[in-house]
Order: sequence, then structure tokens, then C-alpha cells
Amino acid sequence: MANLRDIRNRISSVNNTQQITKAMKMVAAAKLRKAQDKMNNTRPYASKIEEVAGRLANNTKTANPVMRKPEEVKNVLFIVIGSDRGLCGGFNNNLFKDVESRIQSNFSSHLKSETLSMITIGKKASAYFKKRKYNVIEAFPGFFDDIQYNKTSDIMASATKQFIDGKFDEVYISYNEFKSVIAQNRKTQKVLPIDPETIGNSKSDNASVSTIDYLYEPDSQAILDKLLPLHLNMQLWRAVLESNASEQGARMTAMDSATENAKELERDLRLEYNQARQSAITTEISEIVSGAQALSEN
Amino acid sequence: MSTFNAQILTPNGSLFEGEVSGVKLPGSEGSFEVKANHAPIVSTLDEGSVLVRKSDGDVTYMISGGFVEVNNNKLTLLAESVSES
Repeated sequence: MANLRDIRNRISSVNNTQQITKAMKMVAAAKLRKAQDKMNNTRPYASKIEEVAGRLANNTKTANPVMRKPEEVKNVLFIVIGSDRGLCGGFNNNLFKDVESRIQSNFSSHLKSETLSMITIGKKASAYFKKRKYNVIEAFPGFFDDIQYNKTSDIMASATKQFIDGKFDEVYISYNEFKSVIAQNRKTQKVLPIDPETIGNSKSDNASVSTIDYLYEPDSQAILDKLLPLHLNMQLWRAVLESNASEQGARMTAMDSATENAKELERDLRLEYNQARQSAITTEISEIVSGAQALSEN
Repeated sequence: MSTFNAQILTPNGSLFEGEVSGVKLPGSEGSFEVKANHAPIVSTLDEGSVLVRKSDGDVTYMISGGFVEVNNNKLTLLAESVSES
């Protein structure tokens, strides 16, 4: 019976899909652990830079070029971090929608006068924003195949340089912040200009440190000049790593629910299959019985 | 010989942590060496080699520049790229 065979084929294809999603979930879980390790490894470095930079920024009065506050925000740069691969639920779309609505509400005039530029990291981000005719000045597809610090620091260094040259007045990073395996926070963070008030504030309760009389070599201003670019590089690096971990987490959850759905579908199909089989048997028996009856009546 | 705690941190994680008797650094104002009970200092570093004197021998690292903080017998070296040589 054709119907029975159809259902049987569908069951086996659902079964195959389930195996794939299950495997992808497993791979994502392994990658997630690696990504989390990487994220944790950066913490001591990041917090030390922030601590020293915060201390210096509060003590040094002269303004650093990266702290320049423009009178009028003319040119804006968004660095959007998406993923290279799909099958991770709403990971990319949710972020991109959030970025778009943020741009619409805060920078719609910039969008019209084409003074809003964008750097996209990850294939999905590039595709999304290029298709919607945003001014993507640089795109980095395939970024997550091999995540390297110097790649992010190159991007940030060039953005910082353009900020100092006055090509951009504000720089934002948009990414998925890693909250937990199942939850990501869409986040848009202003990285330039640096606000000396906010930097290192998380450590300011640590008052005993700031009272120590440090020797500064060559001097605090020179150290700050060198430190702030490192701090900026770190911001992007951290954003990339957070986004990477979030992506794996999102993929894991997406694949988990896909596996669940496939299981449910398989159960339904199996029920249908058994019903069809049963009715086929019933028909057959009644045919035999009526055939036998017809014979015995003769 | 008195020792102190030294730590080398990079964006990819901690590269070295342990008790050392001295660390020679390529300071941007000239090379200098930190011994135990050094005064608190923050200094920028140039590209060059860092010599770490451990109890079981010296280790040299190449750094691309960075900075160092010494406070309370704890040295923290931060560099964007470090390689052992």
C-alpha cells in the first residue's frame, strides 16, 4: 500500500534529521565549552587593564584624543558582530533587528545623510546589512573559523585611528552578550569616545589601591596613551568572544528543540503509520472473511 | 634569596604565574630589572625580551610591547602578544 510506504519514508527521513540535529547539538556543546574557556581566560588581562586605566584616567587631567567629545555627532560607526553560520535560532535576526530599531530611533538622520557606517563581522551580519543597503565599509565573513586576537585588534586600531582623525564621532559595538547557555543579551555598547567616568568604575570600590603612590614611567599621560588603545582592543575582543560563546549556546538550544520537535513528529507519524497498518489489516481480514463466507454459501 | 609573585597576562590568557627572584624588562625609558620589595611602579614596555629569573633557571619571553605594574611584591605584565623563546 502506497500510503504506508510514504509514511515509512517520512519516518526514516525525520529520523535522519533528528540524528543530524542531535550531532549538531553535541558539537555546539563542545564548542561552547571551548568558547567559554577562552572568554574566562581574557578576564584577568581585561580587569587589570581596566583597573590601571581607570586609575590613570581619573588622576590625569589632560584629555586623551580617544576621550574627545564631539560637539555634534556627525559620523557614526557601528561594528556589528553576527555569526558565520546559521541554524542558531534567532541569534542573528534578533540582534540585527535590535540594531536596526536602535538606528531608526537614534540615528535616522544619519541614515538619511549616509553618515552612518558599519563594519560587519561574520557572514550573516555582512549579508543582512549589505542587502538592506547600509553603508558597510568593511566586512569580515568567515571571521569565526579562526578567532585571533590580532584580527580584532587590527579592526579596532583602524577604527580608533579614524576616530582620532575625526572621520567618526562615535563608535558602537553591537553583539550578543553571553548571559547563560540558553540566554543571550543583545547589547549595543558605545566604545568611543571613552568616558573617563565609566572606565574602571567597577573597581572603584577598591579605594585602597588608588591611594598607593605609584611611580609612573615615563609619566602617567604617556602610559594612558598607550593603555587606552589596548583597552579598546580588549573591548572588541571580548565582544567577539562573548558573541562566539552566545552563538554556540544559541545553536545548542536551537538544535535541542529541533531534536525534540523531530521526536514528536516521529511519534505522530508512527501513530499514523500504525493506524494505517491496522486499517489495512482489518480491510484484508474482512475481505478474506467475506470471501470465505461467499464460498461456504455456495 | 627573597622572591615575589610574577604574572604574565595576554588577551588569550595567563602565560606564566609563579615565584621569581627577578624580572628584567624592556622599559620604554630603558631596560630595568624588578627585584623583591620593589617600589610600586607602572611602566610602559617596548618591544623586546623579558627575562624571568625562576628558582629552576631563567626563561626569556619576547613581547611586542605592553606595560607592567608592580605593587606589594606582585608583578603583573600585560602584553598583547608574547612568545617564549
